[in-house]
Amino acid sequence: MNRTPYTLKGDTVTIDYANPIFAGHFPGKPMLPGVYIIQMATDWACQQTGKNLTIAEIRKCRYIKPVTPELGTAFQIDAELVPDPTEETVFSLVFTLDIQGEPVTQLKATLKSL
Amino acid sequence: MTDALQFIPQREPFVMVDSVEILCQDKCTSRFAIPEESPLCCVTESGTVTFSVPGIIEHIAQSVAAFVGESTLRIEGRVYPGYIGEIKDFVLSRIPVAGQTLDTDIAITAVVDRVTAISASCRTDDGTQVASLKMKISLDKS
Repeated sequence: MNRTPYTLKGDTVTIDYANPIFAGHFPGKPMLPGVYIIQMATDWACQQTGKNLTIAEIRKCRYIKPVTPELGTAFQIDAELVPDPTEETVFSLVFTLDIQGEPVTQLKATLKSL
Repeated sequence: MTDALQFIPQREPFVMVDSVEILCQDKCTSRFAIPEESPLCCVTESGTVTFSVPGIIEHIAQSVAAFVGESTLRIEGRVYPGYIGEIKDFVLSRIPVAGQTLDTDIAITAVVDRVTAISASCRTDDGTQVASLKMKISLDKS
């Protein structure tokens, strides 16, 4: 099974509602699990830095609206990744997932190299 | 511990809680044995299968769903889908690996209409701390 129900290309994310995970989330009512947006943010940060990063802390993650097929499949990332001035393996991330200019999720987190 | 599947709207391959115990009206514990084939497991460069941060958070969210679902099933005769509304103060202590079991303690801090707010602490069954967080879950009764 393809474990990831989306494709990330630059600052664009495309959801694949044919992915098997949607059969279980939820049966008859597909909805992107919000945790995959955290994974998108991590994947984006890894692409930006070329490093293998993981979320160490989440200060706040706000889910503004559920992501369902009715919303569409193509989303935009608006994000900023700032390296820690004293620790080269630590990064601060402010990440927003948008659709048609409307925010869907906002995340503020700290990532670290594994 | 009671089988959690009857209390949650999720189904395979996206089930991340095995059992739940309701301790009182505002506390519960849950358990989840991490399977290698979980969609939120990943393989490291060394070949170790680890359970990701999204997986840890989803396990906690589904544990809350089981707590809420036990109540709606008992009172209303059904379980509702829900979604995470907010995560705050998540701190990762250690990434667990497939084959380990997660034990999670959840305290319900507020219930307002369809929103349940909780704090949670998750560890592996050898007592090693994995993560902690605060979360709000919203029920979808549409």
